Amino acid sequence: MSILPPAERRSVVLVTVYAALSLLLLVIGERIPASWLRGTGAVIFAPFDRTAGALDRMFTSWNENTSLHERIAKLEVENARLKLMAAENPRLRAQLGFGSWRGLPLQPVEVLALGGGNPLPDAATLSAGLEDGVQVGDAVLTSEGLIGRVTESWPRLSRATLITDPNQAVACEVETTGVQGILRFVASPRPRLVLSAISIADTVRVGEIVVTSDLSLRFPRGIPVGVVKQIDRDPTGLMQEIELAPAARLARLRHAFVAPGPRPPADGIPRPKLGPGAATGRIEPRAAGRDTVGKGR
Amino acid sequence: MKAIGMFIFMAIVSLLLRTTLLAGLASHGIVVDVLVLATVAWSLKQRDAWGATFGFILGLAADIDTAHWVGRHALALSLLGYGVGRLSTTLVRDSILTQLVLFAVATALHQLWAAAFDASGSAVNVGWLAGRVALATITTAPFGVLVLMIPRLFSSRRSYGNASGSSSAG
Repeated sequence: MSILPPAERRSVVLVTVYAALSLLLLVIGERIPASWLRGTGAVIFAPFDRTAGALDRMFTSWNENTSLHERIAKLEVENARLKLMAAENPRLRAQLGFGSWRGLPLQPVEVLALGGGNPLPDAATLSAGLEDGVQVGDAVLTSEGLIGRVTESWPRLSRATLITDPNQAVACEVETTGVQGILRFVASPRPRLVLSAISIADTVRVGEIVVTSDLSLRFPRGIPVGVVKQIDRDPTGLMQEIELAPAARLARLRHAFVAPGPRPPADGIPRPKLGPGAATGRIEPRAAGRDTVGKGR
Repeated sequence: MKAIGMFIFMAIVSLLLRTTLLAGLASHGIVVDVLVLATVAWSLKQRDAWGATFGFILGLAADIDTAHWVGRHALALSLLGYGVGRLSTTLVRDSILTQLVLFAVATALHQLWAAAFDASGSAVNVGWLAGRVALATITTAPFGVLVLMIPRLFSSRRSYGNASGSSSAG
């Protein structure tokens, strides 16, 4: 060290301090509460994110306008058909003795920024927060399907952890057959959404739609998650490992909806979902379950 | 004072690009490692001490935003900033080839480092990993050189100078 000129010595000391700090953070970083830091960063960056988003929309609005007009026309036809079915459905459910469905209250939000820096982002900053009624645990979805869950909420902004975060797990089922599985994002050997814990005896076909399960204690039932893309066996050979193509375009998120998630019970004791609500798909207050968000790796 | 203003401006622009425009490009397979791009560009101009500081601060901001493995980008970028800053005193910094090689090597190293964390605890598909690193390298390196050429379009002076230390940096 002493043979180095003072300026070089200073830079060597500086980089050593930075390296030591970084290594220390790698070891204890998960234990440091950084939510307030992310919240401050989100507030500082929100105006820039809005500007960048507005510019992006300006350039793409022409094409988007054309495709939206086509989509409106299709949806109007579909809406007319669904209205007929909606009138028929309560009568049929009543005859079968089923409870009535309750609609999912959706709050529109703007996606200000995507986090992660990879081809598939693992987090998103949303334009609504506690003051708008967005709370930790709320589900985040688009018209195409589930994208994640609110994990941090600040007064005017919030942060959603997307289903592409390897620490997220969602209880799902195959829409047509009801085969249950756990959805996870696997980063290697290549990044993909995998539906696991499915018995080899269960029949799943490529192209089938996978939705959130009624066993999910964190998400309302029936939200599309993805489409079966490839079916393999897991390394043990006893279970199936099913690769899904995400229902929502996770890398091109601009707008989303927040749906109320479970609220923790007043006494803080998590309970499994039981009773008639379980069969009707109603959203009941609930706390913990099969699908969890892990802390750290 | 001007350098500190530029420091803050570059860090904010890099982080903003990473979460907006480049996140959209990444979905089309065009992965530009803007963290490396900014760190290398800054280190070429401001040398090792400032390069390491810039890399550390930028990496830390990216780590906090990502929420997992806090410190991974900070460590890699501070070392890259220091390394490129040191090399800048011995290389012709205005040479396009030098810049291209520096961007390519720095991007490859950073991507390999980041991939190691993404793949922790499971088997790694070497082909996929090589593809990811190659893709980021071949997009970031030419893009970085293009970005460094922009100031030269508006000024006849050299942007960086050479090993002797002649530089127009303010």
